Amino acid sequence: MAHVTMLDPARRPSPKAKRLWAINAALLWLVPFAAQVVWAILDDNWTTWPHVVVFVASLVLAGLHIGVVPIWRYAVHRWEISDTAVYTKTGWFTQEQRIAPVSRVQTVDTERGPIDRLLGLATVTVTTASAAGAVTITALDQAVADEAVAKLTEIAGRTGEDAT
Amino acid sequence: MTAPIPPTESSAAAEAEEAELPWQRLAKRMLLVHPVTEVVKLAPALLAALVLGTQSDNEIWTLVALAAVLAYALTRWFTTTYRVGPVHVQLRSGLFQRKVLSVPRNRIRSVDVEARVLHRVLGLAVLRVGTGQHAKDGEGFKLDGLDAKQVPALRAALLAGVTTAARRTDTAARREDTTDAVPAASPAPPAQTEIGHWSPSWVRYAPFSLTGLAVVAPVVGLLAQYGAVQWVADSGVVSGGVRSASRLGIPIAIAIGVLALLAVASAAACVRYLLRWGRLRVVDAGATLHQTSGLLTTREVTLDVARLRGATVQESLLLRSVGGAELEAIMTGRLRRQKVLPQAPRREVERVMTYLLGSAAQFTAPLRRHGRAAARRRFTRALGPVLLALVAVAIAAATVHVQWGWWLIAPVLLVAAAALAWDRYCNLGHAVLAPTEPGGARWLITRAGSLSRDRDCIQSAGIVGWTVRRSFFQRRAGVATVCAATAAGKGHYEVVDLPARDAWSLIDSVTPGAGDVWARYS
Repeated sequence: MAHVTMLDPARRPSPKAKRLWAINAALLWLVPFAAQVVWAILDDNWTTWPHVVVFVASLVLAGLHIGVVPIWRYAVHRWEISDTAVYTKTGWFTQEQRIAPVSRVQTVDTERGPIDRLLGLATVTVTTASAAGAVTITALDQAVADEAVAKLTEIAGRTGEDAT
Repeated sequence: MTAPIPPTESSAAAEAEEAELPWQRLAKRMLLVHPVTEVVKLAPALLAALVLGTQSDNEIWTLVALAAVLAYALTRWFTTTYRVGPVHVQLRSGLFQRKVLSVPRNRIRSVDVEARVLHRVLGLAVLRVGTGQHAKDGEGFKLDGLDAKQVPALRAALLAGVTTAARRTDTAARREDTTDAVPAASPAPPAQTEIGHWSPSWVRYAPFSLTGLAVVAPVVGLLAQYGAVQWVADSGVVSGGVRSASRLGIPIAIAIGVLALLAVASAAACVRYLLRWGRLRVVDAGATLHQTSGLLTTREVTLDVARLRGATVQESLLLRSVGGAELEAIMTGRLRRQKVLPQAPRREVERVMTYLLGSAAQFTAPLRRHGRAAARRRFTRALGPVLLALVAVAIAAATVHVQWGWWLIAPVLLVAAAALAWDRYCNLGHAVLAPTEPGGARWLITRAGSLSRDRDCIQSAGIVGWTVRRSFFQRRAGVATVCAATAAGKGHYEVVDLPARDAWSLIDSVTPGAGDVWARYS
């Protein structure tokens, strides 16, 4: 059995990706902080130690999630589309390398959430016949995403075989 | 009453001919079945009407309700018609909201037959037509109430399309390596080979699964809701039992209780097994497998061989200890995981699986273990929670007095956890089967688990993508989890905690060239 190693995919997400992840994380942390404010008001005793401990702990976690995780994630994320396959590397704490041959691709979707639109980004999802086999390329510049979709649909159209 | 079944065609002329075909009714005997099923279904409403009737001293309410239910039940027979044309099978139903369900005959992938007790007594059967699509319950094409004598011919005619379709779409996914073992799909009538046959002695494996508890637990729960537990507890037998138990001591009383529960659960498991799987037969009819089973309610399931992508051998720890196993087919389409054999002797599972997959290697091939790091991770996971719990108890013991006898449980728990970890490590493994002939299929075999252990065998042609996943701790330990994505069975099959440097070599050996332009060979 030949020993096989894999190169990393060549392309990175848009540099604005870090900002996207940071904003999404910040929005996520709004809820716990709002809950703490409500708790402090109801309790009327907000200088006691449970309040302070919970507040400091969530401040540290939120700081890591908003400040550090996007940078970590940006250092990991890579993607590339060859003539026959799509390959991504994603994650930060748990990292994944995903590869799917284009001949098995069923649909190619582009997704743009409100924050994505604000920053001019898009996410491309390539689905296969398996629910576990979808390959997602996150935080691409709109033009790059369009180019990727065009390339994928063009290749998928060329190789028309049963994708199950 | 029975019209001839035309062969499958698809042309404008055939469609025109189909539009002229008369609609047929289901078996007349269903007029006896429908009222019974509706009355059972609407029993709570009828009971309410009965209560209302007796309270208002006016029995007429009960009779009106009963008459309404019976009339509604009878309309089901009068409003349901079907026809089998050369292009489609069609079902028309509904009293107020008429509905026509049309299924193109060349899309039919399975024809399943089921007969509940009442149907069997009256010589009737329910025929269900599947197209490989997901259908909601009650939405599918179901002919409820055909004469059982009429069913085999209709089923064979409807399945004739599957046989030819399977031959036509002979893609790489077809099992080339098995053509010498399985009689090739010959023109009708296809050869029928019995490949699996149930024996009453198999019921000895039934208690070695948790199905018995699954049956007993809801019953006990239901009884408890209605206060039956109180009644049982107050009864002489139990209070006498409690008195003698207090003489014997708590450990012995607990042991007796557990034994009694096990006995009841085992009996329930045996009964359930007999009713569900009794008289099981698996027959190979060329392009399809037919599985019939059931003592009271009989089921007949069709498996389209062209959709078979592999098989899973399930051996729970209990079942393994008595030399039993279960076999499940991995399919694409509607029935993704279809039980082929229930709890049965291992060698029988091996024999059927060998026939199904075309070689014995999937069952017998030795697996590669995943090494020291994987073993260490098994032990951390099993011992970690136990140690944490012990520390928590030790901290609590500082404030609350704990009898010293309870500390004897600690070593027992630790030994059990270590044994579990070791067994999980020994069971963890994978293998790749190279093709036995040029152009043949490759197989990925992966096994994991202890209390329940699955050996999954997947054909490489069924794999549509790969994922290599490494958590922070896996990166530190130098291991990775390889996940094969497939449209069949569970959807993804994992090789857990493989040495990270072997991950892509494994992927390349199952599906050569999967690494595409990024792979570097050395």
